Amino acid sequence: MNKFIALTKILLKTNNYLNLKDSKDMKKTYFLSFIILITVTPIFYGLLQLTMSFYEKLSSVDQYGLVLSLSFSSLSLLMFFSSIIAVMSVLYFSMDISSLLPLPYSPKALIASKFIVMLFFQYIIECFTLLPILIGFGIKNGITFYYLFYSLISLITLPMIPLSAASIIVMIIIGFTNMHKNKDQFKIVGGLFAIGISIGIYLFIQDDLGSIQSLSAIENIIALGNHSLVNLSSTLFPTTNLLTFALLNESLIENLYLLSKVMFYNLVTFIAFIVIGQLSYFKGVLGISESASKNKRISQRKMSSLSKELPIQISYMLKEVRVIIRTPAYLLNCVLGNFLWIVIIVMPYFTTDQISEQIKQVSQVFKILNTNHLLVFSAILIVFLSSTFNSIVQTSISREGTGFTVNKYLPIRYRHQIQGKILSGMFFAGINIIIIIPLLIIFFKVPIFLILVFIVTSFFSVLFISFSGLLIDLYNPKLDWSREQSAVKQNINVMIAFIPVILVSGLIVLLSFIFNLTFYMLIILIITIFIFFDTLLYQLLMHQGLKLYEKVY
Amino acid sequence: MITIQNVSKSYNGHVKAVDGLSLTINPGEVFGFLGPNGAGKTTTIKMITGITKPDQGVIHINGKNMQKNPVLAKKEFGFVPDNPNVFLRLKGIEYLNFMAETYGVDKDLRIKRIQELSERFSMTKAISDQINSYSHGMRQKIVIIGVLLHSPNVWILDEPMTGLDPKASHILKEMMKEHTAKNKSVFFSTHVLEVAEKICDRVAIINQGKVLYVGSVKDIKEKSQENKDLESIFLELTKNE
Repeated sequence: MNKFIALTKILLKTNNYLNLKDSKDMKKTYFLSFIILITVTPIFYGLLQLTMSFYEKLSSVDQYGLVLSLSFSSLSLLMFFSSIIAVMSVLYFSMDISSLLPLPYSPKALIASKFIVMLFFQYIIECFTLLPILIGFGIKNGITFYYLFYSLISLITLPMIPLSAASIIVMIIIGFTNMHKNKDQFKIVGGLFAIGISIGIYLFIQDDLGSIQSLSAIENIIALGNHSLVNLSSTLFPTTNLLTFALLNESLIENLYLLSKVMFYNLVTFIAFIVIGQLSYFKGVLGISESASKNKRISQRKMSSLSKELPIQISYMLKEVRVIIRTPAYLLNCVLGNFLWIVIIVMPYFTTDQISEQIKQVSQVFKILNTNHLLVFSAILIVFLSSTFNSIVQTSISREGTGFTVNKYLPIRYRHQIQGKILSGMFFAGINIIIIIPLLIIFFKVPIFLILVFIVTSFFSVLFISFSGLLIDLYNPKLDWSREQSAVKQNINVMIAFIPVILVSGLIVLLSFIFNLTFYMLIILIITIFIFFDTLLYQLLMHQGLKLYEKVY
Repeated sequence: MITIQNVSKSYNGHVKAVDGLSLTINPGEVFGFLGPNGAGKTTTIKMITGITKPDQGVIHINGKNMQKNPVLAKKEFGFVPDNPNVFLRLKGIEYLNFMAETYGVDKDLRIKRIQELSERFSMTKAISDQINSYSHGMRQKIVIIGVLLHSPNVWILDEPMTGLDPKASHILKEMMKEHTAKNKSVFFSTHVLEVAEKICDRVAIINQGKVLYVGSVKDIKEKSQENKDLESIFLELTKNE
C-alpha cells in the first residue's frame, strides 16, 4: 500500500495539468491564474444561471429533478468519451511507462495509480462544469447539510464509472488484440473507434427517445410530476439517477439506501477495472513502444524526388506538418477534429437515395433566406472556428517539448522558424478552404466572386488566429510533458487563445449591429479589422515574439 | 576553430555553472572536454552552440561571433547532442533532407553525401523508416549523418560514443581523425577517459564551472609525478571539488 501511495504521489506531482506554475517567474504564474479566472468565470456563471433558469421552468411541472439527471448523464457521457483517448495516452503511451515498467509494481498498482491521476483531471474539469450546476440548483432548491453532503458525494463519484468503463474497454482492446503491434496505427484506430462509439451511443439515445410513440406519452409522464422524467432521461450510467434522487430526497433512510447503491456500483466497476487490468494490462503494455521498420533501400529515383530544394520556411513547415500527421495525439486532436464538420455536413448527402432532391431542398431553403451570402459567411465561420479549435499554431511551441533545443542550434533564423510554424497552421486551414470551395460551387452554385470573398476573408482571419495563438504559446510554452496529448489537450494556452478570438468576434458583431451593415460592408469591415490586427500582431511577433523565442529554453 | 573568452553563466542569479571560462580549440586538433557530472560541460556546450546565452564573455566559431551573428556562427559547426531523440516522427531520409535544406546543401551534393555517409554508417536501408523505429545507436548515427551533410569545419559532439556499437564508434573516431587531418577542429565531451586518451590532441578538465587543466594528455602525464594514467589524474584533480 505504501508503494502504491508513493507512486501515486509521484505521478500526481509530475503531472503538470494546466501549465500554470512557473517556479522562475511568480508574476507569470499570477498573471496566468488571473487569465484562467477571467476565462472560467463566464463559463461558471453561465452554467449557474442556466441551471437556475431551467430549474424555474421545470419546477412549474414538478420536474426540476431533470436538471440534475440530465447534467449528470451528459457529463458522464462526456467524461466517458474524453476518457477513452486519455486512458490510451496515460495507461499505454505516456513516456513514463518505460521508466515505470522495470519497477517492482504489480499491474493493478500501476493502473490504480494512473487511474487516480486521470480522476484528478476529471475533478478539475468538474470544478467548472458540475460545481456551478450543483450551486445553481442548491440556490433554488435550498442548501441543506444533506444537500452539501450528497453534492460532495456526486462530485467525487460521478467520474469513476465513466472512467472505469472507458479504461476497461481500452484495456480489453489493447490487451487481447494484436492491433497494438503498430502503436501509432492503434492510436488512430482507437481514436476513431472512440468517435465511432460516441456517434453510435448518440444515435442509440436518439433512437431511444424516438421510440416513445407520441407526444402524448411524454405529456402523460410529465403529468405524473414528482420528477417522473428523471427516469426517462438516461440509464446509461446507473449512478446518475441515484445521485439525482439522493440530492432531491429528504428521507434519511431512503438516501442511505441510494448511497449504498451508488457505492456498490462504483465499487463493482472499479473492481472490474482492477481485475481486468491485472489480467490484461501487461499483455498490452509490454513492447508497446516498439515500432515496425521496413528496412528497405531507397531507390536513386526516389532519393532524387525526395531531395527537392525548397525555401527554408517551406521545409520547416513540411517538418511541422509531417510531425502533426504522424503523431496520433496530434492527428486526432488537431487534424481530425478540424475535418469532422465535413463528415457531419456532407454525410447526409451520401447516405440518402435522393441526393439531388436533398441538395435542391437545402438550396431552396437558402434561397428563401435569399442568400449565397449566408453560405459564404458560414463557410468563413467554419474555417475561422476550425482554426481556432484545432490549436495547430497555438500549441506549435509546446508540441516541441524538450526537443525545442534543436531549434536553437540549427542555423535557421528564428523569424523563419516562426514563419514556418504559421505556415503549418495556414496549410491545414488551406485544406479546409480547398474542400469547402467545390462544396459551395457544386452543391450551392455560389458565384466565383463570392468564392474569392470567402478565400480572402478566411485567409486574413486565420492569420489573426495564428499570430495571436503563437504569441500566447511563446509567452508560456508547455514544454515539460510526458505524453504528447498533454501538449495539445491539457494546455492552458489553448484556452487563452480563445480570448483574442472572442474579443475580435465581439467587436465585429458589435460594429455590425451598431451600423446595421449590408453583407459587403460587413465583409469589408471584417477584412479591415483583421488586416489591422494582423499587421499589429505580426509586428509584435517579429519583435517581442522573437525575443520570447530566444528565451524559450 | 572555437574561441571562448572569459565566459560565465549562472542559474537563478547565484549558482555559477560556468565561471570565467576561456578556451581555444585550434584548427587540426581533436579537443576533449572532460569533467564529472554537473561540472558545467553541458552548459558550456549549450553556450557554444547558441542554445543559451552567456551572462558574460564572447564565443567565436571560425571567427563568427555567436552572440552577434548566431545564424552565421551556427553554419560553421555540426552539433551532435547527447540526446539523439530528435524529430522521431520523421523518416530518416526526411530528416536528412531537412538538415540539408537547413544548412543550404544543394540537391546533387546532398544526394551524394547522404549516400556516402549512410553507407559508411551502415544506414542505407534504415533511412527509409521513421526514426521512431531506430535503436538508440541508430538514432545517434542518423543525427551524426545529419550534421555532417554540409561538411562543417567544426564538429561539436556531446557524449558522441554513447550507444554506438564498436564498429560505429570506431568509424566515428576515424572520421574525427580524418577531419582534423584537413586542418579542421573537433570539440567533444566525454566520460570515457580511454577514448579521450586515445584520440585527443588536447583535453580540458573542468569542475564546478572552472577549467582545472588544459593541455595534451602527454603533458598532463609528464606533469604528474608518478606518471599515472588519465583516469587517476582526473580523479585526483576533481576529488576535492
